[in-house]
Amino acid sequence: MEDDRIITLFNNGRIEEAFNEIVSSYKERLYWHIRRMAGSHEDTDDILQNTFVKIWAGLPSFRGESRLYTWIYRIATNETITFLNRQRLHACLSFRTYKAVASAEIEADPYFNGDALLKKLHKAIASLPPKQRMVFNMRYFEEMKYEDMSEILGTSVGALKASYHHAYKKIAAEMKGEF
Amino acid sequence: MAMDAKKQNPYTVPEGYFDSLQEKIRFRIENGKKETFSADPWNRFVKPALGMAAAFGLVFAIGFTIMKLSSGYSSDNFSDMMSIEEYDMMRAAVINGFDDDSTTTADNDLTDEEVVEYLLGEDRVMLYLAATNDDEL
Repeated sequence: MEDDRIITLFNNGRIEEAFNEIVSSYKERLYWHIRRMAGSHEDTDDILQNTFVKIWAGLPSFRGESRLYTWIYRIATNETITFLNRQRLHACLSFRTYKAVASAEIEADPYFNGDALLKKLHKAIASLPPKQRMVFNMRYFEEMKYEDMSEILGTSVGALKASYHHAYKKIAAEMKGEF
Repeated sequence: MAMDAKKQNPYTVPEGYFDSLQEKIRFRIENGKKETFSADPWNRFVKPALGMAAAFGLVFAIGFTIMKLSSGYSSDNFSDMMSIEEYDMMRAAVINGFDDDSTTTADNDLTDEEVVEYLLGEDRVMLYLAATNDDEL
């Protein structure tokens, strides 16, 4: 297991090597985890780098109370939600709805290669409130277990199931008749 | 469900992005990064300030209206009833709030009778009468 190897390096005081292993092992997973929330590649790149900077800063004090996997994802998730909340505030101050901003981002994204139907689906997902959207993405796209999501988000499994169910229904209603 | 067929990833990544990522991260760690939203002073300072001022003004206006309406005995004429527009605005602000996560709006629906009953509650009437009767203060 990669995480076991990383923990071994960490426990042996080889912090930099452990960090390099984390970047190598997690960069793609975290990229897509963030990208489905942030929308644009540029913002995702910024958030991802910030995430790894925080991992580097926090690694010396990592006590192993949580699994490495959930600790890393928690940092990435918090960075992403912080970014999205800031984006929503900017949208508000610019007298635009967050939904309009998210929709415009998808339309303008040169790295979005989906057909019209996929575009509609992702716009519907993008219009969810940040935390609910995160729950939806983690369950629907990343197929995470609710127990893992609970550790990462600090929310009970029951609440996550309810949130996901509600998000799924909202999106299904928006996509009604399209499939 | 048919929606499951749409789990394919529509996003792409610039070529070579992941290969150069480690180097970029190392650079950021060594040099730090200052976050900037925009170099344009209008976008960076003026627009947000105007927007903030407008938002505070709106919140203050709604809050003041709700306070004024809920303390009906502050009016010289207790029999003055709020206009339909004021009532609708108050109801919307109290029930719906500013949260766009609408998971609870269905549970918070109040009937018109319940709103009127609250505003004309017996305790409120007694408090108003006590406040306006100098002999009892």
